[in-house]
Amino acid sequence: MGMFLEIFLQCGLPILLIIGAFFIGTLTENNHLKRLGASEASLAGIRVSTIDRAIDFSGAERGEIVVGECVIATDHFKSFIAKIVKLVGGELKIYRSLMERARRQALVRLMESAREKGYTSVCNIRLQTADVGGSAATARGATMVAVLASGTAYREETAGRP
Amino acid sequence: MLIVNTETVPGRQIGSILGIVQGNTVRAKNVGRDIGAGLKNLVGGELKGYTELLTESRRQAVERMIAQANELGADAIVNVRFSTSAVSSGAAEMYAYGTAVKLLTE
Repeated sequence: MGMFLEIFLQCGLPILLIIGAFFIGTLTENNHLKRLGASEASLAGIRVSTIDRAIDFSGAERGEIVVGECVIATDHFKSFIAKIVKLVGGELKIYRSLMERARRQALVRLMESAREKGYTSVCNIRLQTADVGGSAATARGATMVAVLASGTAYREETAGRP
Repeated sequence: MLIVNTETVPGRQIGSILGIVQGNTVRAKNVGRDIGAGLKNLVGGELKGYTELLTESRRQAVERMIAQANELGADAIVNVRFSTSAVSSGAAEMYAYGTAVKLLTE
């Protein structure tokens, strides 16, 4: 009985954690993607670009900087898979989706902030990553990504356009 | 104070350039947030505490940048950029910088 308990603690518990993380992590990711899709659909009217000047500027209001941030963590299952992939090298697809979610969420927040302030467009959008956890977090094996999106929001000229 | 990250303020002309203005802050997250983040690393998902930390840091850096621009008597700050760096383990710097300008009156 004692040996069985020991085997369970040594092997069973880590495996259980990975399996649990797989289900919860997948659920979290799917919910997040669903929310992102809905937000993006409702923000379709906001025109965003990386062009460094305000196109079709209405002249009604001055531009204003808007930002959006997101820090997101991967789950235990994915970091486990990543460790295995790292042995042989190659693309870490599971982390690519993490980066994509963080960028999309930061952009959604930027666009929401522009809409709240009554602007219709955002130009000169820059996306960058930040180091919030520091090297200590990375050493602990924590995988997280922080994205900061910034841009200049302005009101677009709609008169004379179909 | 107009703050944009484009090279010019839409619809306005720059009269004179007053120089670079900057603001920064180094912030560490507290232990509670760290524990929360540790749990999130198990199941995945957004680290709301860290997102807030990033927002607070950015706000503070921008405020300090605006204070500098006000001292110079600027109308606007153009070409604003953000930059981050990990100063020590568990602490991160948020740095905002831009060019303070005086605008031509319309």
